[in-house]
Amino acid sequence: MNRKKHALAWMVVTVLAAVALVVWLGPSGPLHRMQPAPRTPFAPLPPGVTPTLVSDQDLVERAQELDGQWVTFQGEALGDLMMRGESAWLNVGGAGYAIGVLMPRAEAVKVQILGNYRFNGDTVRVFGVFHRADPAQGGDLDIVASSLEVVKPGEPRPDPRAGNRVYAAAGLSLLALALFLAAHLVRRRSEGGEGHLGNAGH
Amino acid sequence: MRLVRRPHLEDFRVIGHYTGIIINGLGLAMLAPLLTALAFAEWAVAVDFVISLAVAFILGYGLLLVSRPRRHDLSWVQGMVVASFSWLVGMVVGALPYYLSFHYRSFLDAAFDVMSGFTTTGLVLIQDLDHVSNGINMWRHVLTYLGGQGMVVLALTFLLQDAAGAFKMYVGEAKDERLLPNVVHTARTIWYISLLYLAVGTLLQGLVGLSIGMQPVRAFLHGLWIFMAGWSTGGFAPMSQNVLYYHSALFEAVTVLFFVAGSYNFGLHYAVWVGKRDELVRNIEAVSFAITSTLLGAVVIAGLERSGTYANVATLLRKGYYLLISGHTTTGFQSIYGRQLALEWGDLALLGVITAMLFGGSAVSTAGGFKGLRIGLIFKALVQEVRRLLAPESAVVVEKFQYMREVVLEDGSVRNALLIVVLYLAMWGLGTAVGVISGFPVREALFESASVTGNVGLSDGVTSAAMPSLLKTTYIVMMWAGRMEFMSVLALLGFIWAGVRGK
Repeated sequence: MNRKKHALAWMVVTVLAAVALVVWLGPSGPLHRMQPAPRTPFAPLPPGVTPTLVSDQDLVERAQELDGQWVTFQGEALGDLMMRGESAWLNVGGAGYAIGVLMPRAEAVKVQILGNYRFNGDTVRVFGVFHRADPAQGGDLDIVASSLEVVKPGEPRPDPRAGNRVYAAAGLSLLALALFLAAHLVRRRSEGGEGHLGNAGH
Repeated sequence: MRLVRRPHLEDFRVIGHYTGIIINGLGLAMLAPLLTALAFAEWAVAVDFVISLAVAFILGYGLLLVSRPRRHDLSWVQGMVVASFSWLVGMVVGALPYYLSFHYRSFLDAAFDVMSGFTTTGLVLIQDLDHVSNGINMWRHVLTYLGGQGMVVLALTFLLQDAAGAFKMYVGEAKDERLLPNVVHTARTIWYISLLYLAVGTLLQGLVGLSIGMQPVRAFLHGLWIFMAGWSTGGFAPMSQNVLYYHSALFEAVTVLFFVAGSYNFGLHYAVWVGKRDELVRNIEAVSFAITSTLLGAVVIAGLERSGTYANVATLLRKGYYLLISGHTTTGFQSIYGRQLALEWGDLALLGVITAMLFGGSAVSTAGGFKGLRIGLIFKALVQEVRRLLAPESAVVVEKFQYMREVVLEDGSVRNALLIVVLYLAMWGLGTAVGVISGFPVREALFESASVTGNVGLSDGVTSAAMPSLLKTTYIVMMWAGRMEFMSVLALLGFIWAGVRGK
C-alpha cells in the first residue's frame, strides 16, 4: 500500500472510530433525538408575566436558572447595529459582559448612538426571552427581545490624556532622530574602515 | 571542574546588536497603528504611538551604537539568546502604547497582553475593550500577526540582507524548517505566504462582515483584524465578546478556514504552493491533526451530549467543534462566554478541549502546543517498538514518515520530541499549581494552564485583571517559554547563569 492510500486509510479509520466513540460515550441515546424546539420570534409579553430585572452577570452566571424566562436588561448599545432582514442584532454592554440581543428591525432603529472609542452608546432597556443556548441561533447566549427603549442618549467620551504628551513625543522623537543619525554615521565610518558589520540594516 | 564559560564582552555586543535591529523592526511595525490612528483622526492615540515609536528607536539605535561586534556571525547560544531576549525587550517596548491608552490597570497587565499577542496566545487583561480606539486595536492585531510569523523572521525579512548565523536566531524562535536553502529567503517566503493570505482573508472576512449587517469601513477593519488573529492562531478580537459578537455561523466558518490554514506548517503551504499537493494527505502533521481533531471532536461532542448543554445537534456541533478546533489549532477564538465553559460544559467535553489545546498545531507554523509533528513521531515510535517486539530478533525494523520528504525515524528525533513534550507537561503542572495557589478551583486552573501552555487563549474565566500578579507573571513566562519551545529560554537562563558563576 502506498503512503497516500495509507494516510487515507488512517482518516477513514479515524472517522469510524469517532462515530463509535460518540455512540459509546453518549449515555442518553442517539443524537438524532435532539431536535430544536419551534419558536415564534419576537413574541409579545404574555399577560400576567412580569419580566425579571437582570444584570449581565446574572445572565452569564445564572444562565441555567434564567433560561427561557422573560427578562428586562439594561445596558449600553455597543459597536454595530447588524440588520438581518426584518431582524437586527445589537450587543448590549453591562458592567462585565456584553449580551447579544435579537430584536425586530423596527425596535432596533430607535438606537441612535452606538458605543465606540468616541462615544458612550445609548443606554437601552430591552424586554425579551433569555436563552442560555438559543437553539434557533446556533447556541448563542442571547435575549430575543420584543421591545427596546432608549433610557439615556449616548454622549461623547472624555479623553483622560494630558495635553503635555505632545511635548514628550516631540522631545523623544528628536532624541530618536539623533541616535538614528549617529548610528548611520558610525556604520558608514566602520564600512569605510575595517569592514565592520555591513548587514545591520540601520 | 567547572566548564561554564563566563560570557565575553563580544557576546554582549553581538546580542545587543541583533536585539537592537529587532527592536527597530518592532518600532517600524508601530507605523501601522500610527497611520490607522491618523486616518481615523484619533490624535491622542497617534501621539502615544509617536512616543512609543521614538522610545523603540532610542532603544534600538542606542543598542546598535553601544554594541558594535567585531564579527557578525552568531554562535548557537548567541542566536538563541537573541531570540528569547528580544521577545522580552519587545514585550516591554510593545506595552508602552497599551499602557499610555488608559485601558490597563498596570504596566504588568499591558506587558501580559503584549506577550499574549506576540506568542499568539490571545488571553487579555485589557479593560473596556468595546471602547478601544482603532489605533490600539490595530496594534493588538499587528502584534499577534507579527508574533505568528515571528519577530526574528520579521527582522530577517526586512532588515537583514545576508546575516551569517541568522539561522541560529531563526531556530531560537522555534522555527527550524528551511523552505529554501537560504534562511533569509525562507523568512521572506514565510512573509509572502502570510501577506498573500492577508489580502485574501481580509477581503473574504470583510465581505462576510458586510453581509451580516456591518458598515463597510467597520466590516473591513474587523475583517482585517479577525483575519490577522485567526491566521496567526492568536484569537484576539476587536470586541469583548470575541467572535460571539458577530452572531453568524458564516462568519465563524470563514475564521475556521483561516485559522486551520495558519496552524499548518509553512513548509506544507510552500509544498502545496510549488505543486506538491499530495503532501496535504501524506504529511505526518496533517494526518496527525486529522486523526486527533476527529477523535477529540468525538469526545467533546459526546461530553456535551452527556451534559445536555445544547438542545439540538446543529447547535452542539457548531459550538462544540468550533471550540475544539479553535483550541486544537491554538487559536482561542471563542463563541461562548468563558464562564459558560466553566459552568455548563461537562468534565468530558473539557477534557477533550484541554487535550486538544496541549496537542496544538503544526511545527513551523503560527500555532503552539506539543505540535502534530511530535505527536506523530511519538506514535510512530510506539508502532516501531511494537513491530520490533513482533519481528524476528535479527530483523531491522525501520519506520518512516512523510515530512516534506520521506524521513527515517531516528531515536534522537523521538528523544527530542519526548523531552519537549515532558517540558510542556511540567509547565502545565506548574501553571495549574500556581492557579490553585492563587485561589482558583483545580478544574478551572487545569483548563486555563493548558490554554496558556499551548498558547491557545481559550479562557474559562480565570484570566482577568483581578488575578494576582504572581499568576500573571507565571502566565507571561509560560506563554514565552511555550512559544519558544523552551530551548532558547533555557539558553538565556544558561547565559545569565554563566555570567554569574562562569569563569
